[in-house]
Amino acid sequence: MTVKGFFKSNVFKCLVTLLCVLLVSGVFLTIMNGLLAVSDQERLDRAINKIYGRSVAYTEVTVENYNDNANIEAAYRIKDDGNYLIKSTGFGGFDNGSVTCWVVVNVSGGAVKGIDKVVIDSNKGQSYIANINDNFLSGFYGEYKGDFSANEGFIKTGATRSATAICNAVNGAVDYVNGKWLGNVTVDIYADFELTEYIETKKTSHEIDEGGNIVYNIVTKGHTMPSGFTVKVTVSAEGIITAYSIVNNGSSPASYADKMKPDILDGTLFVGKDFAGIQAIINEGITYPGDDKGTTISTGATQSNYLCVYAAAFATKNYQNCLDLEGGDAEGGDE
Amino acid sequence: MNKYKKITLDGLIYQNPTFMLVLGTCPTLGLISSAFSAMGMGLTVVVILTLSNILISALRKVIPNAVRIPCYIVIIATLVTFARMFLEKFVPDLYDSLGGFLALIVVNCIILGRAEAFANKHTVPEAAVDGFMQGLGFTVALTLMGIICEFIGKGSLFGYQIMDFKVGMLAKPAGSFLVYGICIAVFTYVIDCIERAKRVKANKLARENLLREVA
Repeated sequence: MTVKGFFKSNVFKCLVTLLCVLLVSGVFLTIMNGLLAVSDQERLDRAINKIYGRSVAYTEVTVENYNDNANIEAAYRIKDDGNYLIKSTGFGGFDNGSVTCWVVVNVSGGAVKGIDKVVIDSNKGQSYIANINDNFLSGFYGEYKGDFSANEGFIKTGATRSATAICNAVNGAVDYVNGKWLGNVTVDIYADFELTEYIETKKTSHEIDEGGNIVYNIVTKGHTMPSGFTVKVTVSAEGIITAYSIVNNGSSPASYADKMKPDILDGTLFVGKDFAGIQAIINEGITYPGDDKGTTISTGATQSNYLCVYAAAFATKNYQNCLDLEGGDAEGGDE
Repeated sequence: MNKYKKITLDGLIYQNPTFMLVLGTCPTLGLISSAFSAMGMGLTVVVILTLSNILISALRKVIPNAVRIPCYIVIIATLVTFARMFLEKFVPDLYDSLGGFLALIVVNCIILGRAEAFANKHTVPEAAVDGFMQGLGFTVALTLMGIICEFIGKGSLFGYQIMDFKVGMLAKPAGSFLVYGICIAVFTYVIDCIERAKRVKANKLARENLLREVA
């Protein structure tokens, strides 16, 4: 085909038409984007209007995270009532997604008095978020009595994982207000310990008795399906577990809890074992075995079993680290 | 019959995109648990469908046959993006409630279907009326099912609580399937009855004419 023939061909006409349509569309959308774009300030004003039902004056402050399970996106102090408005993203939702909430934290007398309002801003991959209604959110309101636990009955909403992410967002907002403005900073004494990937280090604590036994109160993180477990483990001076009991089972009672290994549920699997013994349970070392079959903890509640094994591994592996802390503050908590 | 009257009746009843052609089922099933969302989606489709029909009809002699579908998609996508910008700016509540379904209008079978089946073969005014009426038929169907699902499923109408009694399943996708199926059955049955009555009447007239001629 000659050059002249190409310019007269249907191919050329098709190309030009398509390019013209694209060009006109692009120009039109560029102009419209300039006219209709919603600024961050406008989004914030809308959110505040939704929460307070009116415009309010506020001051913005820089943000800093105080909680592993939540990310503080923005923070404001409302001038009218002195409350704190926090935009917090809670993790641990359905399919490892997250929920972003606006949380109004009421502060009085140098302490968090309560939560005044929680409004869901957006979410990532939470298919059942519509099941989270005002009735559930009102469970946060009122006097603040400590962290909203992801294991409490009130998160059983038909969107339990999304509710867990919302709990984490609210807890993160409170931690932030406590740490940033009220100075009640929670010190993570286990930050340098080994095997902390699945451990809520700021909620975990231990005590050392006169015989050199360490009694741990370990709070694990949640996994894809189960929420966090709370486990009480006693490790002797020889680094051997002498007692193991599950204080709070993070597995869903309706689905997976009954599939956990019985000897994990009653702790007999761990008693008498040191770290090498715990490691041998999983065969492949203390890393999550995924969906691999064949390990003794693959029972249909593999993730729940794994969190319990991991807690035992954490306890035995860090015996010496706990002794090294002796002389300092051995309690995880407020300093 | 006046052609505009035929286009109107086709859009609303005889070729109703939701009940008769069963097109656009994705947003239908996803949004009819709330009457507000259902009506909002319907009205958005009315605007996009009318504008896309007008543009495609106006450009039907310019766009070569070989690239007509890509051109239609670009035009529809541009209109949907504009609708998203407009709703986010001026009706943020509706924008939030429609969520991902708003962007999915680009691949809504009704819009591409009317562009291909009607707009590129008819004049601009006819295409405009067709787009508006098809969109209106879609809106009425969605709103009707939205009202049923929300009233029975949540005990409310357009967000206002009316009664405590509710059948929660109807506010969920499974309930939407049921309501959609029942509505299609009822609508088809009613249309069928009307058509049958028309045929009986026409046969009777024809018989009377025949008898008169014989006599």
